[in-house]
Amino acid sequence: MKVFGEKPSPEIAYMVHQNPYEQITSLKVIDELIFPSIQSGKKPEDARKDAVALAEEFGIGHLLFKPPYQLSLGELQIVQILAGVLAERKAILLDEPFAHLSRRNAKKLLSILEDFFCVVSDHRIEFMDCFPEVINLGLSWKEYKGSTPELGEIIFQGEVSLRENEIVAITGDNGSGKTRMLRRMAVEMKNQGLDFGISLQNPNYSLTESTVTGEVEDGKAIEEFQLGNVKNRHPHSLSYGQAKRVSIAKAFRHRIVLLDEPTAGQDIGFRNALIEILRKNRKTAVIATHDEIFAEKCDRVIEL
Amino acid sequence: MILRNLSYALQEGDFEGRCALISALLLSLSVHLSGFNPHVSAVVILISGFVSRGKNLRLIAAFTPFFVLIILSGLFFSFEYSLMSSLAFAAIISAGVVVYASRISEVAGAMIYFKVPERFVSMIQLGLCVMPVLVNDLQEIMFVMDAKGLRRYENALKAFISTAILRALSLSESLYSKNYRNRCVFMLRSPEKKDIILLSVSFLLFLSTALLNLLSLPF
Repeated sequence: MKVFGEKPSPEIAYMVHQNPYEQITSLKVIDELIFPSIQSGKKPEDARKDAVALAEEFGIGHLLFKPPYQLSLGELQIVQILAGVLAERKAILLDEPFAHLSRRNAKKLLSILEDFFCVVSDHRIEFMDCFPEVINLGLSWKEYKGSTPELGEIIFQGEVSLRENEIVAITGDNGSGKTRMLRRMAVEMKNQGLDFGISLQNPNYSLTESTVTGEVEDGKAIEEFQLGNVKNRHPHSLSYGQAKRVSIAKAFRHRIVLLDEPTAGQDIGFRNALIEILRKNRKTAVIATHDEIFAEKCDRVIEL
Repeated sequence: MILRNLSYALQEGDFEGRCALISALLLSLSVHLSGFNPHVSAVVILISGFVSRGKNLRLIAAFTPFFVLIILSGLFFSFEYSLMSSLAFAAIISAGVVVYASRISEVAGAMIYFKVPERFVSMIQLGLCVMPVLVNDLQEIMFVMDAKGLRRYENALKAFISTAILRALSLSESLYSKNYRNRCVFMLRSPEKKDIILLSVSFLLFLSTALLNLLSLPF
C-alpha cells in the first residue's frame, strides 16, 4: 500500500501487511505484540501489561506464550492487528485484514478498531456496511448459475470420506483446526497412494519454477485462473492473491485437490468462479475456509 | 527427521537469561580449554542434556551429516582424533543449546545487563528469531512437495531459497512498518534455584578445566 506513491511514515501510521507470516519479528506472541511499542520507546513492563490486557479482551490470552509461526494464519492476523493497536500511532493501515478471519473475529476486530483512524483495503464486501466511508476502485463480478454435481463412488475413506467429484468445505473459527484436519487428510491420502495436490495458506511454499507457465503447465488452467497477463512472470514476483491462484492451479494437476483458504486475498469474482472451475474440471476437493458464502456453495460442509 | 529435530531443539526454555548465557559461554570455553578432551565434552553434553531436557541430543541428531563427514575425515588422518573432534563438536552444539534453554527476550535482557550495546543485541535477537521461522518454512515446503526422489529435494531447495529471500525482504518491510529503532524486546528477572545450580555446575567445570590446564596436569 502506498499513499501518493510513498510508503506511509511509520511514525504516523502502522501498516498491517496482507500476509501476517511476513511480519514475524519475535519468537513469542507476547513479544510480537509489544515489538512496535518498544520501538516507540515504551517501557517493556508497561507494554507487556497493555498487551496482556488487550489479548485477554480479544480472547487470545492462551496464545501469548506460543511461537507466532505455529499459529494459524487467522490467529496470527489478529496478533499483528492488535500489535498495530498497541503501537498507538495516529492511523492504522490494514491490507486485507479480514482475509483470514472468521466472521465472529472480524466483527470483534471491527468493534476494537472503532476507536482508531483506520484505512482498510479488503475484498470481503460483506463488511462494507461497517465503515462510515467506502471508496470503490472498481468492483464487478460475474454470477454463476451453479451446476448440479454428479457424485461418483467413494474414493477416499479416512478422517472424512470423499466421493468422486464431491466438493467438501471445512469451516470453523480461527484456530479451530481446519488446517490441521486438511494436513491429516493429506498424510492419509499419501499413505493410501492417492493422486492429490495441496495448496497451503502460504502459496510460496509450493512455487518452484521460474515462470507461471512453468508452474501451471496447462494453458487452459492459466486462462481459467485469470493468469494470462502474468504467465511469463516469476511466481514469487506476484501479489499474494495471484500467487495463491498459481498455487491452486498447480494443485489442479491432480485428481483430488486440498485447498487451504483458497479465497483469501481473492476478489469476489474469483470466489464465485472457483466452484465452477472445480465442477467443470470434475475435481474432488476438500476446502478449509472461513468464508461462509463460499462454503454454502460446496456439496457438503463440515463444521469444526 | 533432521527438520523435526532442528525445530524441536530451537524451542525456547524457561531458564533465566543471564545464567543460561554465562553457562553456555563457560561450557563452551571448558571444551576449548581442555583441548577437546572427551571427558570434558561428555560432561558438557550431559549438563546440556539435563538443562534442555534432551534438546541438545535432538540438535546433535540434526547435525548427523556433519558428524559423518568428520568421522570420515578420520580415515585420512587419525581415527582417534576424528572421534574426539566429533565429541567436541557435539559438546559445542550442546553448549549453544543452553542459550535456547532460556527465552530469547531474556537472553537479550542478559546482554543488556552486561552492557552490550542495544543496537547489537537487537540484531542478534532478530537473527535468533529468524532461525526457527526458516526451519518452519522448510518443514512446510517439504510437506507440500509432490515430486519424488532427488527431484523433490531439488524443488524444495528452490522453493526454500526463494522463500528465504522473500522472508528477508518482508522482514525489512515489517521492521519499517513497526518503526524499528534498534530497540530490543528484553526481560530481566531474578534467577531461581535451578538457574543458580546450572551456573554453579558450569562454573565448577570451567574452573577445574582451567586449573588443570594452567598446571599442565592430565585430565
